[in-house]
Amino acid sequence: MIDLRSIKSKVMVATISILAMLPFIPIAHLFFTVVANGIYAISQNFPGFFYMERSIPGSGVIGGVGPYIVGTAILVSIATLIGVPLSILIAIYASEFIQSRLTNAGDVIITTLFEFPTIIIGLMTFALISVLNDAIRIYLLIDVELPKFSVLSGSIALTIVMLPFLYVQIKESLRSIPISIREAAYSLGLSRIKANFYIFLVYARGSIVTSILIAISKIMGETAPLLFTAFGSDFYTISDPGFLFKPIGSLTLAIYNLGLSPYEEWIATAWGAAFILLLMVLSLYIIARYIARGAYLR
Amino acid sequence: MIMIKDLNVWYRDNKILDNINLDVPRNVILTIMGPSGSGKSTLLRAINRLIEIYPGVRVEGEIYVDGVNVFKARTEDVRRNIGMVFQIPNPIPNMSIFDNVALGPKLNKLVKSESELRDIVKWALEKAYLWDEVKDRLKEPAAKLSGGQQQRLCIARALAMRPKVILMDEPTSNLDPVATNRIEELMVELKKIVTVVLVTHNPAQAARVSDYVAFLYKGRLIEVGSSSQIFTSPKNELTEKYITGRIG
Repeated sequence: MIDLRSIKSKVMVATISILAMLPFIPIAHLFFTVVANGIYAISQNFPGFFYMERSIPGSGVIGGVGPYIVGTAILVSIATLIGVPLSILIAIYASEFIQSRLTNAGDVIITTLFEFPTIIIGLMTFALISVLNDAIRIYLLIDVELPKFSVLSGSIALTIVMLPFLYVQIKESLRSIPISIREAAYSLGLSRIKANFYIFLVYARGSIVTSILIAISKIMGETAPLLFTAFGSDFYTISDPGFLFKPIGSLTLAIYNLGLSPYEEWIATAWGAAFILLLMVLSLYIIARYIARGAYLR
Repeated sequence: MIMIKDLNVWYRDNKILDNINLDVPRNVILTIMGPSGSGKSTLLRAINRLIEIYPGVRVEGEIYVDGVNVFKARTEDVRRNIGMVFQIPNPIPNMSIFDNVALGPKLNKLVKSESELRDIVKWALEKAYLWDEVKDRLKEPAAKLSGGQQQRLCIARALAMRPKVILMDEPTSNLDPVATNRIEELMVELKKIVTVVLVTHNPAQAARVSDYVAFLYKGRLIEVGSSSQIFTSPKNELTEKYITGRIG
């Protein structure tokens, strides 16, 4: 006898499984295209691809992405150095003073920023520096022009991108600290500041380190906020002592600019850059997952 | 040692403790017993003002510890002089055994040198009967210890601050009988150096360890007396019903 109910169930399960797998096809396609083209490009100029500057178009030589790797590293490092301490401080305030008006207002502003398109954050940073320049000229009567296209403005834009994510994550880790741990800290006669810095942050360090790594991999892959700020450069600039105030390249900007060019050598270089970026982001993500698992095991 | 005068505690609109008056002499174990919800833990947390970390709590009255009115002193100073051990063992799980004990003296700057800190940690662990079990693994995370060991670690953590009073909030309710027995022996040993205020809902435990017993029921202090008096000839009918298991 045919069991209609079990047939129905099998058909439904099969349908759902196939539908669930569909989104992986474009992702897998994208992944393998990047890997195949990237490895091919890098193999044409190995190991020079990692440290050379890009080639001259029409030369038939595939250059390298050295300056872009350095640029990404500098931009992301400065953004992390500003963004991590800042978001930890704000998150501690928000987790300690849950009912304060400042917390509520700040929470609304920062979580709204979370939803902002990142290109708007780039424009915002650009506008912010213009306004600052006007203010300095008009009120301080000093004729100084803060550079709009610079390492610093790029790092500030990336900081603004990473801040809301980190704030939300760290605030949640701190708020989920069990009351028994809070009692333990306060029963030792610790002030709020000491309890937070020496006990609560240590208790939540696994999840906080994970969120920091994910935030870094997030800003590493950002192009839009850098368009109006870091602007991009194809050459090594760090030998210049004032390089912080000059434009700088990044892997993402290189993928965008070189990838749209008509030259085959540059397009190949963009594939290589995409592959390197993918590797960097993936490895950070895997480390983050590993730490997160460890944190739960403890 | 501890003197509680006209203590009233409200949580929002509910009165949790109603006009408590209690004296605890030095170097004894006083047990506060009573059924769940009678306000035992609240009374304990009023003594070191830990109750103030909960929003919505209002306290009236006076508590003197060693002659100092705790509500007039700095919260940090009050808590530093009063150790506390909780119902659920709560070492910081991802901190090492050593660091858990060293926390208090280090962060409160009670020690001048590393060697002094090591001495104090060793002393506290010895007093908590834990030194022999952990002396070779001080760097391991505290989460690796068993429940009973973790609770003794918490006692060592409290002792490391060299307090005059230790408050214990049902320290054995999550432990097995063997671990419970060790903690009870430890309490009796501890009263040589500190005054212990123990909270329990287990009359048998109160009878085993205490010098004095206070019976709390629905936020009111029904009866206080020496352990032998309370358990052999309670004056109040409610106390008798509680220790014979008819209420609770």
